[in-house]
Amino acid sequence: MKRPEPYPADPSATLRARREALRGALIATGFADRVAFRRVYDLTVRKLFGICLRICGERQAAEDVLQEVYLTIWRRAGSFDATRASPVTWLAAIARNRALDWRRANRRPAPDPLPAPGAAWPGEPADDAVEADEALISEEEVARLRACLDALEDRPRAAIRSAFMDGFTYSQLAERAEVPLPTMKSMVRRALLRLRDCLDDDR
Amino acid sequence: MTANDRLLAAELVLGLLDDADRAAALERLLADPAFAEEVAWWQLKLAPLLAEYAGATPPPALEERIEALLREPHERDGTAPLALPGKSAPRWRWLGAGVAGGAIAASLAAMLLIPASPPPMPVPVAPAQRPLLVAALAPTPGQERAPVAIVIDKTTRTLRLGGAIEVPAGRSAEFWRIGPDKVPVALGILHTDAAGRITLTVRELPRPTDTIAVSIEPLGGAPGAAPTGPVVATGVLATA
Repeated sequence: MKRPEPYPADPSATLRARREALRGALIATGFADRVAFRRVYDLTVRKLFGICLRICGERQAAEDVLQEVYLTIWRRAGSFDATRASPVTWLAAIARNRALDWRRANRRPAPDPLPAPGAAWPGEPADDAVEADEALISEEEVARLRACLDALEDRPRAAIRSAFMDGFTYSQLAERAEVPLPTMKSMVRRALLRLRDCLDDDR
Repeated sequence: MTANDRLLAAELVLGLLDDADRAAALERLLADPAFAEEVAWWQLKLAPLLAEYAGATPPPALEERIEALLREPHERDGTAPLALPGKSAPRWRWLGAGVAGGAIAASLAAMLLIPASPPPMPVPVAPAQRPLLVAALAPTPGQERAPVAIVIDKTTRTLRLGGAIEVPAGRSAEFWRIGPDKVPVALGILHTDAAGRITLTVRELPRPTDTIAVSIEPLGGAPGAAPTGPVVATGVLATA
């Protein structure tokens, strides 16, 4: 006889439960289940809209892009490979790529990066916990990547972060940092190799 | 996998590449499983950065708009929901939606290569000419096989395969495109070129969002205008 699950007081247990809920809802969405799709929407919309807003830099565009993102999720959920991909990573990649496509198609310059919340990236303030929770990412995973990024020099670290968060290309990064393109490329590439070594120890 | 390949995977995930390099990397992604693994690895490792995006709440009307768009084609003409292209067409019922599971390339393709549906964008500007069309062809249900990526170069009209399609001896694999009218149009027969690559020159350029299907036909192709043999793989094209 199956005992009822105790209420998960442990935050990591809650996180696991929410991740599993999202995974299940996404798989069901692949079978054109609208209720499951609504669940995916509820679990992810704040994070995905945040991504669209930041990359598009304007609200109306971000809303239009977000609509396309969810239609894409609906159409493509069937190809989500639950055994290999993380649902959040998969969904966020769709949002990032859609937002970047919009920016390219509309020839918009990259928006100015927002002032960093606090000093360093994922800083200590309390509301970071909320954002990490919305991303369905555990604090251990955040800490791990942070340790590896912190081991890099400031300039390449900022460039890598900015590429990810704001969708800057090499050329845009070089322009902003006022350095020649080859300089930017070799600096970032050196840092990426170091980052890979640092993140690689579980392979 | 060289250090340069690993860097290219990271650059693709981070979005550092300009249009031309990105298109080349995407083509590689579909054709090279080891590279696809590397891309997936970076995607996973960098995912914690997603925590940094501040969440935001869109207007409630947006969800209604999305739901209405999902319902619309279904209720208007009785066709299947958007997710299942081809499923509603009686002649192609057996295409189904057999895209569950499969190689990582198919999953990555879904997130990196978004099908070109007309986006309701303000002030749309034509994007730069992109010469590649790509698709991950999923095996039809009942086959334990990995999806196969295809890339069509629009300028040379060549279709290349990123994996193998099993063809019984004395038979041919014929490629078809199925547009919005649901009528299959023959693209050509798969063959091995002088360099040993499996390729075909398409008779007619398919369009993004067309479904590509592969059927097993008598040697030399289907005798008539329509496929006669079993369909072994299908996928939807997207612009790279």
